[in-house]
Amino acid sequence: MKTRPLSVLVLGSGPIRIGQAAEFDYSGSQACRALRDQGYHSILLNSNPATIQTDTGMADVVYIRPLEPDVVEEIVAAHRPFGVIATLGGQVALNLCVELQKSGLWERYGVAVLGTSPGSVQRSEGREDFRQAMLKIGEPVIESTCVDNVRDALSFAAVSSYPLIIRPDYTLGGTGGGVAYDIDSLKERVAVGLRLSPVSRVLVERYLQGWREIELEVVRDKAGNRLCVCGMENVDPMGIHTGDSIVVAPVLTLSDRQWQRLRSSAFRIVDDLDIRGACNVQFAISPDAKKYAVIEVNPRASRSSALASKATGYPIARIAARIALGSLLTEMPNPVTGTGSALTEPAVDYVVVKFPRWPFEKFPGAEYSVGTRMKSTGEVMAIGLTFIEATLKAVRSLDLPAGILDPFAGHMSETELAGELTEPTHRRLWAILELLRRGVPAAMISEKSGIHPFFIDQFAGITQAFDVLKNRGLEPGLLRRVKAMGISDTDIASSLCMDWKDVRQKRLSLGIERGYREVDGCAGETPAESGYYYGTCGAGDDGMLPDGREAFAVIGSGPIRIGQGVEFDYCCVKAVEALKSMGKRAVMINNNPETVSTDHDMSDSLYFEPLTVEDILPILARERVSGVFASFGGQTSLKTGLALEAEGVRILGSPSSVVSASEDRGLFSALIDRLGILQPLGFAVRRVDEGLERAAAIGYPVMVRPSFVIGGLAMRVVNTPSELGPVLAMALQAGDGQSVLIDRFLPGVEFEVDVLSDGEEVMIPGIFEHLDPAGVHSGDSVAIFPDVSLSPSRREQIADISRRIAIALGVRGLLNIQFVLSGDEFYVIEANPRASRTVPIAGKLTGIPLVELAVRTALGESLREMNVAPGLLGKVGPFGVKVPVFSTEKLPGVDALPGPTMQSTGEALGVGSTVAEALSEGLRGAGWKVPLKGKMLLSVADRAKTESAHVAAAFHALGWKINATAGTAALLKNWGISSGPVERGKTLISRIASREWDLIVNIASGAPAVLRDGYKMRRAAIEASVPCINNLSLASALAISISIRSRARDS
Amino acid sequence: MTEMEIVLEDGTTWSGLGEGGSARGEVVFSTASTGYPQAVSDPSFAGQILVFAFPMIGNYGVDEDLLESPRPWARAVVLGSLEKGTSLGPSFEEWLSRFSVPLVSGVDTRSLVRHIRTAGALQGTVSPVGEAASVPGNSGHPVAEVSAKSPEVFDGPGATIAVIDYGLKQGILRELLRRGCRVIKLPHNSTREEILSWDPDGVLLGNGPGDPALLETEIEVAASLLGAIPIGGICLGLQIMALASGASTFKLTFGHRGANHAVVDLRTGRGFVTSQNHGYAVLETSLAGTGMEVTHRNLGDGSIEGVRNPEQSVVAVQYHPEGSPGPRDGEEFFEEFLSLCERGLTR
Repeated sequence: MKTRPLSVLVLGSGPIRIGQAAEFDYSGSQACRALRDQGYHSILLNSNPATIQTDTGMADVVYIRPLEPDVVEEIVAAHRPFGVIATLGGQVALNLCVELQKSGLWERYGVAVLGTSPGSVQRSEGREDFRQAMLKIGEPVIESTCVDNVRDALSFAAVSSYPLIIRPDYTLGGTGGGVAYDIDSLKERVAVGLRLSPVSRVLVERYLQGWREIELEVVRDKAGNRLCVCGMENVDPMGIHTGDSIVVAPVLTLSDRQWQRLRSSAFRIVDDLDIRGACNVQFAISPDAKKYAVIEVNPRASRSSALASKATGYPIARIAARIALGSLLTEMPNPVTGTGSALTEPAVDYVVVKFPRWPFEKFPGAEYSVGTRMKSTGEVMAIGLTFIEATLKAVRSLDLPAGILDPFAGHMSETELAGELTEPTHRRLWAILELLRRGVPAAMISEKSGIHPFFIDQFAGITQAFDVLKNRGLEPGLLRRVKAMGISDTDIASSLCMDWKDVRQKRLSLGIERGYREVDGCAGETPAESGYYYGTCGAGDDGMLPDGREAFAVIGSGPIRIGQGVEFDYCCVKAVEALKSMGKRAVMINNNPETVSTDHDMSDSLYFEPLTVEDILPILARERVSGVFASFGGQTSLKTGLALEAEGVRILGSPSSVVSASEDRGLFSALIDRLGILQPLGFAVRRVDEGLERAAAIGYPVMVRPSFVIGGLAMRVVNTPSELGPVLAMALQAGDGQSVLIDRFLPGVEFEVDVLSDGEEVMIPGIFEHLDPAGVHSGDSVAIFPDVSLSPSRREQIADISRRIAIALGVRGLLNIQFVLSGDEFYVIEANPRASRTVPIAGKLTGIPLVELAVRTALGESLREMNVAPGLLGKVGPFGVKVPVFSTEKLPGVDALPGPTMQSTGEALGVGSTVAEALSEGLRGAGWKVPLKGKMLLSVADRAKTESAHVAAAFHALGWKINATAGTAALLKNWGISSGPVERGKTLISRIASREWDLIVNIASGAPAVLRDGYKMRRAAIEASVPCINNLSLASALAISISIRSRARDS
Repeated sequence: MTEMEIVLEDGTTWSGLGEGGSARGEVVFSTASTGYPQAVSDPSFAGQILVFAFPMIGNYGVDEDLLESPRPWARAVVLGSLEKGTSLGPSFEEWLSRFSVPLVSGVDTRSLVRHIRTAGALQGTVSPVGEAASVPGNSGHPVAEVSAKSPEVFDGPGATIAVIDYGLKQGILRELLRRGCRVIKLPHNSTREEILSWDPDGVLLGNGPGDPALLETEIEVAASLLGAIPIGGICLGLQIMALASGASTFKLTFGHRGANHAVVDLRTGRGFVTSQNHGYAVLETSLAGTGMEVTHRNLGDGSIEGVRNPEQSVVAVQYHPEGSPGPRDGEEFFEEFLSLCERGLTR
């Protein structure tokens, strides 16, 4: 007799935001796989549609719904799971689990909380509880106090000493934290922290300037068996958020005695907290290493556990899931080698460096300071034989325009450079290298920066190598040495003012090539066959067993950054799965430790390497790859594909002919013209004066954008010639020698399609309709799928245009096309011959395996052979509404006004049988808390005042109280809608900050002064977490959604 | 810098750089990433050429106050990247040269480790290129070389423990003293009478280098103590104890050397991570009839990690409960041994 498998609910982590990137897609996916392996039925809840875990290939039942108590209750009532796993979905899942524990939901439905208990979670996460627990077991903590008001913070300060650090309770990535150096900054920081903490509580503690920060990833089971999977050392000292620190593994500067002391302490802590699963313990250690203190404990899988997993090959989340289900570490085989024990601590014979990726290029207005608030959106990891090699590889992986030799620091004064030591920004490493180059003593740099002298000496090794190189040129012995250090051909070339190809030639002629080594978790002691490799120049290759299958490589998307989120990792993983299912050997190349694609058992072989031509080519040779997929990893990968093709590599689906024809806007323009399709009038220019001339001919407003963009970097709508000059100069610089396009800016509604083409026929799963007006980057726009407002003939028009473009380009695979419907005509804005941000959404809503089909078309199958009916698919699934999520609360100084430059870090998807339902779900999924009835503030620019009356009327009818700024209020009064007028200025800002309104509708005018005024409002709204809408169509849609929900509730 | 080479007895070679000097010995590797000064100063490495699998060695210098013995015992050290850190003491390089221990850096240690893991620990030499053949061999058992020559007393308020120094790690001494013991450290060739003349509450057979089966006198003395006094054993001490009880030992292919070995206490089911350094192990089938039972097992290869004989008040572990380098997760062995000493003989 067959029994129904027991089901387990897994809580995901929601949209990607700063402090919570793809690492929880990785951990949740591992949980689902572990459940499946153990014969359980997994039910996954996550509002983030771009993830692998929300694919039915991972979980048995997937709910793309908001992570909210009522949603969990519905699911629990329907499925009656026997347990819930909440420790693999980050802080969001953990908080939700604790909340539901308190409300008694788990008990009511008899759901067991698996893994670390909610009681233990509260003890580790509630600052005061934790402090008490540590004092009880004699573990030193940092002198601190927990306050719920500013006054108490001040009295603590009176008996302690500045500087003090402020950490709000229960917030992501340390949001709202900061260092106070005096009474005024303390007042301010505490007030902000209290507001951002969901429990209105902050910890004020002594700030240990210059102490080192060490993290341990510990795994413990219910019987108390435990191991430390990995120790990690922050190169940056205390005071810099670990998410924003350069991190090295294993710990390099501690003696065995010092290290064991921390390790034993971590074990006492996890024993006391009764951790059952993964746990991250952070220590501060004094400069002389004589004293240490526990900073915090994360009783769950975290960003660091993802890093530790990738650094050692030990799959922490999977083992944690097994432990949650009751397995013991002493019973499980070693997950890396397959033999031996899961309790064996990983040993490594390499060094791993993690480097943060900051989004500052997207936010010219942001404060670039790096400190207690995490600001990076993602990170890269690199593996090398030495710290220097790993650091150089990490910097290469960041995909920055100039890499380690970025000349900007050379132009800075010594004072400016020294400023980076005490008030660091994302450029600190470069400043240190420059100071060393100028002969500033390492000891002084170390003392000022708080970075351990060991690391400064290591950095000095880098500058010395370049110095020697400059003096001696390409001597064979020296070349061998600098290559073994990890310096790239490109960097050698640029320091010698040579062509990198000549350096490569010379190197190859000397036989200096990369060897690949397996990450085996045991430092070579036992065979592992993990298929997980890293390359190093000048050392032997581990060798590889030949495999009869034809091999294909997939280029990943690198660090999570704005414009290149987890959706591309989804596409890469699906491509790898498709290749494997077709009997091919799938080779994955990527450098992001947070992702599923860098799980070594997803692909046949994984190369954790920078995504540069020099790093990729030898992999392709070693694996005897027949072709490379560069169209699934987003723009970076596409660009890399072009460069690889120039080296004779076969690029599948999107060869350079296709990429250039669509991405080089001049070429693309010509093609569109030839096809007789409309496009915004535009020109490619290479000089500012040329641009001004062309713009005058097109007429303002114009849209300015460079070729080869990620997330619309440097795209701008410009209204006047005086504005155009500087914008154009910036865009030309960002385009790096490419031309910049100036288009007539067309107001209207935007649409977007993902087209699957076999070169002769196309299939379109549906059309995305954007709610935000044209000019807002598609990634930042609320979008409905499938569209709601197009007539059948208009849909056919889109399908027809799409087909013609796809066929003319010769795409074999996926093509994303964006349209604007302006007046009565569709204009094509752009076409990208690659998997787009929306592919996972279209795929999940329609159930069509778009990526798999794209892989198969690229390998030669036709739509007909795959039984895919051509044309635009009729509506087959529910409605979906994609809602972008911004992390602007983490980035002081940044305006939240959407525009052509993408700013969102992630997205949520709402799914429903009606658009109203889907929108409401989407907004909730994105973290919006809009009540059915409440109080709103309207502040609308003149051009939109008339339309705003509709919105006001709709909310008014729903019983909302309305306030409006003077002009708007006057207009509403004329219509007969009563609204309390409010004065602009400081009072308004403080009223926003005190969360007087539940919703703000702010339609900005283009005038700089008004923009500044609106900026303060928007910023206040962000800081106070008040939903702020910047366009009327979304406001109207929200009104509809609320009215339907109210009706549903009343009936 | 001189071009150096490592030549194994099977004819394979590895190259690196050094300051000259040569040595011959068994080539073994350790996978621990911390504690290079403690490893090299562990007398159990006497007669061996130690290869570090972790590439960056020397990061913080040598913490001289926490060594396992006053000097390096490995005959030579082979590593990947030599770091010149001095934050905790003299640089590793300088310290080794003080004792004329050859150091070879820049070696592709991973391929060497991978070779040893299949070929087994082999004899080999370290020398300037071309001079391998002329490196003289070693003679005699290394225990004689590393053991204390005369008794030494360390006072403490607690139980008196006679520790036999076959190449004793300072860490074991430290753990006993930390627990208040009065420790009498005795040379490896001490007789039964000499040992018992200190009127100890227990005898601890310590760690040490080399093939235990060759230590005939030591085994005989241990056998004569069986049943006369509570006895503990650590590493080589366990092996001597097993041999004294009539069991036998065998050579592992390449040994256990590192700080990450998972061990389970079969009596409680509790698992923990241990520090290990041994090339030989007790043959399980040979325990039959000795009165010894297995208490601990290696979760990796299943080899014996702990034995006891309740009849004769004997407890011994193969791993290093004192860590150093490595974890002390299994340090409860000391409690077990000391409580045995406190209780005295069960009969």
